[in-house]
Amino acid sequence: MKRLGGWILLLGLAFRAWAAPDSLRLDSAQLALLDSMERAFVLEEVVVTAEESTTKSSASVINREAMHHLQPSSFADLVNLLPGATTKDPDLTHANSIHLREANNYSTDDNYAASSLGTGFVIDGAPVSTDANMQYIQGGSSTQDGERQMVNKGVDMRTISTDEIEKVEIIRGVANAEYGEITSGVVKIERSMKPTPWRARFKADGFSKLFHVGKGVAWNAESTVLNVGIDYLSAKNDPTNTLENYRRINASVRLQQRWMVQEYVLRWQSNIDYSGNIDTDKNDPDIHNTREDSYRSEMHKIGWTNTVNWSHRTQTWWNTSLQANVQGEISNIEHTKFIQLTTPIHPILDNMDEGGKDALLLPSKYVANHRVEGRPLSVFIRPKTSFTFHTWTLGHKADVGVEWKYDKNYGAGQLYDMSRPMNYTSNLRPRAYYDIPANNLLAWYVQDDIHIPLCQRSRVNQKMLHSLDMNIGIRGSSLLGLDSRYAMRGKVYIDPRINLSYNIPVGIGFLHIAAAWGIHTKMPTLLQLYPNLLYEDLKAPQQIITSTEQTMNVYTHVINPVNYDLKPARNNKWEVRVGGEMKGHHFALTYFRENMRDGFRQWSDCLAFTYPITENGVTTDYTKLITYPLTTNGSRIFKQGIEWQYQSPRIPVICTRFTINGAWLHTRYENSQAMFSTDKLSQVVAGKAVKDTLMGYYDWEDGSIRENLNTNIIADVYLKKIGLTVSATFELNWYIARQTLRKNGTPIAYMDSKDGKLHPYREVDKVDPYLQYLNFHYNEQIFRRVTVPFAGYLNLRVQKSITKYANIALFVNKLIDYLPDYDEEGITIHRSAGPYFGMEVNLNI
Amino acid sequence: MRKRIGWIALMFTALWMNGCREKLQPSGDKTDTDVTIVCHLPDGMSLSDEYTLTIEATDLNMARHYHWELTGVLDGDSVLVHTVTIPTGYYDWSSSGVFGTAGRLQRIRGYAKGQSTVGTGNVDIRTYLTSNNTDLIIAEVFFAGTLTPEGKQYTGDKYVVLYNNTEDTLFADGIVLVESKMKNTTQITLKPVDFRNEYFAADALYRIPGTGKEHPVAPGGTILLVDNGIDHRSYNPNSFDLSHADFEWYDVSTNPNYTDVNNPDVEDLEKIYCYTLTIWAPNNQGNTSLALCRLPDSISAEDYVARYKFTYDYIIVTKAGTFDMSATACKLMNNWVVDAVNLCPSTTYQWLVVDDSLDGGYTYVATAGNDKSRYGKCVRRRTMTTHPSGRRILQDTNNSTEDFFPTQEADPTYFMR
Repeated sequence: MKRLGGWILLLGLAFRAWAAPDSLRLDSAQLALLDSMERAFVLEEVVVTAEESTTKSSASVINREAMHHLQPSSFADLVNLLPGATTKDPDLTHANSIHLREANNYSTDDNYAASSLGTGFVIDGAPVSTDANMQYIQGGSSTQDGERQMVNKGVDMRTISTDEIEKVEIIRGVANAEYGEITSGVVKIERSMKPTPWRARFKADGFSKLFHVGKGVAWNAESTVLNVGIDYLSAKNDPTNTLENYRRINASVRLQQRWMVQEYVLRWQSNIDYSGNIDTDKNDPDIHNTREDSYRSEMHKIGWTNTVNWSHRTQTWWNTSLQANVQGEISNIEHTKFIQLTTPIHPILDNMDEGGKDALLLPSKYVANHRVEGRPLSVFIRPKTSFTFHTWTLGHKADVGVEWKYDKNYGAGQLYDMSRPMNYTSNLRPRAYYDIPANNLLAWYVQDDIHIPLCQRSRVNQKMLHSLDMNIGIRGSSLLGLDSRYAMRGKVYIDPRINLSYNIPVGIGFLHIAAAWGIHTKMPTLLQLYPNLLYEDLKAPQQIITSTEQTMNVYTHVINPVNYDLKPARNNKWEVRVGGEMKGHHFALTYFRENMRDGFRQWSDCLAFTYPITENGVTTDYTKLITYPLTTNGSRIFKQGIEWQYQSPRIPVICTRFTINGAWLHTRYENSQAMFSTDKLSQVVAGKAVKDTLMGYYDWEDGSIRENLNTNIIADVYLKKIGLTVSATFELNWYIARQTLRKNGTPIAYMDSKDGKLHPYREVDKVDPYLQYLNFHYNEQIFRRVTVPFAGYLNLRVQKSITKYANIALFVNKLIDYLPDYDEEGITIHRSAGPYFGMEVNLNI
Repeated sequence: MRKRIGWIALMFTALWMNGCREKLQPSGDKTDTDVTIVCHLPDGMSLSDEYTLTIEATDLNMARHYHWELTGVLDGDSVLVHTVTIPTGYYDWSSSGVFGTAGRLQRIRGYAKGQSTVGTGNVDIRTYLTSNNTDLIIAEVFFAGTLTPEGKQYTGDKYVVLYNNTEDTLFADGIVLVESKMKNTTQITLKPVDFRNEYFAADALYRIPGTGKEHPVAPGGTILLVDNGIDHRSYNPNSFDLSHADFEWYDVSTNPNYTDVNNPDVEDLEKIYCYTLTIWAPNNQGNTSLALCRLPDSISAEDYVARYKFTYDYIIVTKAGTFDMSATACKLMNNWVVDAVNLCPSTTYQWLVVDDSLDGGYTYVATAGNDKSRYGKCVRRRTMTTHPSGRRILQDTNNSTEDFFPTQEADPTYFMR
């Protein structure tokens, strides 16, 4: 009854506000009614989708109910809720990297991994560091490893389980200065830290099974809270193939202790986490000839996070905390592969020093074993203090903090027998990781949250004031202990970041207009700073090698491909946003632009090298061009887009809330420096490989544009009395487009092995027997824009509580799909999609 | 996932090919049509020669064959015209004939492939003299490689056997072994003009060295060209001994990862041009065409590449749509070619990358490109008859469908016996 009264009142108020805005005055009874209505709304506030954060930076907030309703297997499923994202079926047997604000058909090229590398994951205040991750099989000879390794790509989201998470905030916009080592955004994960009943969950879908159990207990009036949780996931790539699978065990013990020491309050929070991840992929001995082939990668990570927070019981204007986090990992990859040489003769490339050597020959077939031992250790320490104070009418909340981050890998590294290598054409050699120096990052930040009330006309409610909120922060970071040759040595990289929000009361709601700008910096990882030595093995072009010969003279040139000019990747981003809230309706519209011009890239460098080869006692000098990879800041990732979200209040009678979100995302991946290219340079003329003597230098646009526009409409029904929640998501993907950037195949210059110098490429060179091959011809058609038109899906999720203790849920992705045929280049494309479904049971005892 | 993509690709291909089949069927009823066959004769046919001309038609949808035989005397016209009545349909036409009198016989042959009888009423067949080949011919090609006992691919034992099918001693000096750029499994539309009747797009050229009189081949004699002239049995028991080869194609490289075996006892071919800087071998599924040719006036490799490199545009229809593409290759004029063999798995044939006059058919070692039964199999030219002196006379009608036995057990010494 009261509610009905409230609605009538609201309608009346809305009418009055529209008809005569100045006459809006409420009496105390009306205010009380509104207040009770607000409480009624709050009671129903079950949100099963991602919410747009009301903080100054644009962020998505996913709470426990939403996660519960989503029924995720890993954190990777949560990012499907972000604006612009579409539901993807879990792919747990391959690495899952994050692509914030990148178009749905984002580039998976490692040259553009700076975006996922630069997305910070912060779990209970402790950043997850992947800078010392070197778990990969070098030489790129293992497809199994290529699909699973995350070196220089950031966090593998499938390793993070969601069951102990209370709330996730994904900052897409400009993060405040507290967050460092990022380019794209921050994923803030807060785990449950409160007494809870025993919670158990069992989930099964066609490809995986998940089991979780957790409990939170409290003593002494909640001055001691202990939470424990463990979960196990087993996933297969194909339900009928038990030989390719992924298993994960995550366990955590979290303790919070509060002491009163005289007039001070001391809080200590200590978390111990274990995460075990095992990937296996073997050949079936019954159907494969090469039964030896197997791959196993395991990662065991233990983290210990401690935070001590010190504050005054009554004088709450300051608060000091010290956080210390140690994260250690034991990771091993074991790969066994049967190798058959496809040609009879191949030297054993095992020369570790510069110079010539008579190399023995590989047997025509053998079993190769490759082991990678990584022992990354990361330490993070951060003292920080917050102050709350006023200057005149301005409210301040200032933070000052200092951080030290240490990353080191104590592993034995790449271990294999060089005479039986997995990749017998690799120019790499075994390498111990413990020889690589540690990274020491020192950073500091100062930021101030300022609230400026602007006018006090409104008498209705203290909340309803014009105000300007701003967060101004500055962050400096520097790598310590670098060799003097590094350009980064002694440099402090400054990140200024500003978030502004102007709040306007409108009726009983408010509107805000926000703008933000900031620079975000990500330092290179250990492997980017200290790459493996390259061993360029060379032989005489015309060397006579017979099958009976037991050795072959090989000259090895050792190259240290360190780029001393390497700089951090820096993303310059700004955004404007308009948002509002009125009577339970929320909306936000954001336009953003991010420009990272110095993302990390594997750039090819080129040099002319003369080497002596001794044959039959005669030494001859040969010269050839050698190309080798060098990590540079040569990638540009440009992102722009519009994100929107509207959320209605839960409409009574039909108990339904509507959420509409979506985005237009436009991502441009390209090079930001000219480059040598051997793309199409494989020709041999008159017995001479063109590539050995000539190399083109191209100032072209190499990359692509990816774009998509989508809208998701989510209707969720919450029937509290019967404990039923049903949500239907209509995913409308209006289009996905892709375009290769136009490449000009004519080089601006070329390097000649004769002098090792760059020469301008002239018109006459286009008819030279050799130089003509440097002028690449690309057909215009490959640069055309390819657009995939509309695709629509319906996803359904149902949750039902059986008793107070039990809850069952199921989900079906792509239950219904609408994929109209379309014509492309004279061909009709017929599309199809298969549903993906799963079920789960939850117990709360 | 890769498997799934493979399946999808296969399904698309199946769908697409099915679509093609349907397109081949002209609309309308299966009624009879009058078709005028215009057979264009090659230049230089003598007046008042007697002739016997056979015209054949194969209905591509119904797999029915028709043939007509014409006899007469040439009256100086450059065409022979004949009208026939056949069911409406889509046909491959061919004509072959014998002209002249005994002792001075000339043979001609010509094709008109994939012609619809709807609307046209005319079929033009361009014919040409089938060589009484006066140069070396390709007798056997082994391009698939072998399998090791562990089931892994083994390459390096590929070979080509050249044969002297004439009555004179020939010299192999200057003969160039060529692989085509285009594939018989992928039909493309060449732009702006279809150059196949003028030249051949070559991607690998290896020349037999010599001054002209260094490498004689007696009638019935062979030349064995191999990848690696070694005894492969010590690496792979399923392979063979090629240490007695005449020449090997040796790929020079400064990279020890591409170490081609070079047997000093087996002379190397001169590498004129190759698209790859690793070790070259003919396509192991047999999708390309191989040819023998003689370049004019012992042109040097560098001069040849500088003068004959060309870029051509084409349109390709794939499962993903129709695309304009470009490619770079070396021009090989048709009149330099002395013999050509089109290779193509039997079920994936789409077109011929060389002109009909060089080879009007194709041969294969497997039904599908990735068919694993192809390993260890070769294509071998048919023996037409045996000369009183004991040497084989091989069939050479410039149609490898007829001239070759497909899917034969590879034996590099077959023609030496």
